[in-house]
Amino acid sequence: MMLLDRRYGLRRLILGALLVIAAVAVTSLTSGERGATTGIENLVDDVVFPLQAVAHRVAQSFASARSWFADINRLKAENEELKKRTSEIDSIKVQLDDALNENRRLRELAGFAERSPFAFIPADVVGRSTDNWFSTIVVGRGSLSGVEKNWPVLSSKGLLGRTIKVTARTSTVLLLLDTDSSAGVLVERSRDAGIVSGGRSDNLLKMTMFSRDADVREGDSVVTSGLGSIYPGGLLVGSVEKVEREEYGLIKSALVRPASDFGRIEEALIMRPPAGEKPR
Amino acid sequence: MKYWPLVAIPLSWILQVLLAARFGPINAIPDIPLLLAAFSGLLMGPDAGAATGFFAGLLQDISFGRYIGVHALSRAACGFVSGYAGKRVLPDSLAVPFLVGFGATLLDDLVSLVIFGVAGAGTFVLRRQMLVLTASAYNALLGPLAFMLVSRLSSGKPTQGKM
Repeated sequence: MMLLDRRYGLRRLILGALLVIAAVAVTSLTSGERGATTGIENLVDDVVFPLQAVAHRVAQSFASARSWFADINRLKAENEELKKRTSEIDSIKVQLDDALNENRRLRELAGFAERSPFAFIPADVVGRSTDNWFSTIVVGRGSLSGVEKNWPVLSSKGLLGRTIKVTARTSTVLLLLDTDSSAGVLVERSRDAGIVSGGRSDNLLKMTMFSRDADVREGDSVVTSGLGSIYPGGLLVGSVEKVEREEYGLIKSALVRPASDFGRIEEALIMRPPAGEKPR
Repeated sequence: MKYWPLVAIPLSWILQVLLAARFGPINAIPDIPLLLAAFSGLLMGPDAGAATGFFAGLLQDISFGRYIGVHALSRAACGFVSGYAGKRVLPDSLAVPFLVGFGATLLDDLVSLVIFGVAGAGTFVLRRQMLVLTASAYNALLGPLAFMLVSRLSSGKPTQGKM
């Protein structure tokens, strides 16, 4: 009987050890950039997406109904204010239309082609990472909408991250806040370059400057530099919250508060690169 | 009811997906598959806990698409340890479901951290201490409910646990 127990224990130990080795190996293999998603992943996505979409819609309807009741008085006051502002905006719009027309004429005169290399695919945020390790969101647009891996994703306020997994109907977006995220950036005012990366517990981004003498000040806007292969230049990342001065350090760094409010993302814009430019 | 984990595993994952969607992407969230693994272990023994945890975690890994294997292993470890603890360590007390919910979250995090390290998968450090503590608190609060559900599903007979 004891021999049987021992054999059973040994078998269990070997099975456990094999499982551990296999899991660590697969984790290692799937830790980097991956190619196309597998059939199983697509199947899983096909099951989950309709549920996520329904849950998202139901939650949104509840949220809008609640805010409608709560905000009715505020809305009345706001309505009055907006009426006043509309008349002001009307007059500004006339001036703006004039300026746009003038700009178009001048471009034509100078022989410039219309430069609008980027197109945006709007998408609802339908989910997030199901654990506490990764900072990702799931948006309701996938390869059926033409989305591909490593396309930049923005909110109305600034850069959010990039697509890391695309299935037929959804895309997973790795947020800038994630440990695995980084982007080449510039301080807009001084044009000094650096890299921002995530992984901080305070939800700020760490910006490491390439030069120790880089001119960075609190409040400076930080934009993408366009030097990497994923993010084009000029996308707003955030503003400098704190410059970290290391007197004898070799590098200079700063903390950047992201322009996007990562806690409340409901819609996102997926940025389609210009034709001919393929992401990594 | 013998094969209830076959239904409970995908169901826990679907619940997790729906629950996660209601929390912002930077907030801590409770972990239903982890609770399933831990309480399966507690009520049905270490082997059943490890198996339930492994498949519940694997499903979560596949849905994320990167670092496949981390959750499979960490949840299997949680299921196994809570089963082992249920047999030998944990006292007969009402506090047990809370303790298991809390402890399983910490253990899951620790095991994940080790696997990430061994697999050379990124530079994960204890960067989200608050998230871990908040998630542990959520899971501790959900512990009694998970205990009741798993207890009911497994015929209401804690086979090996001490409860």
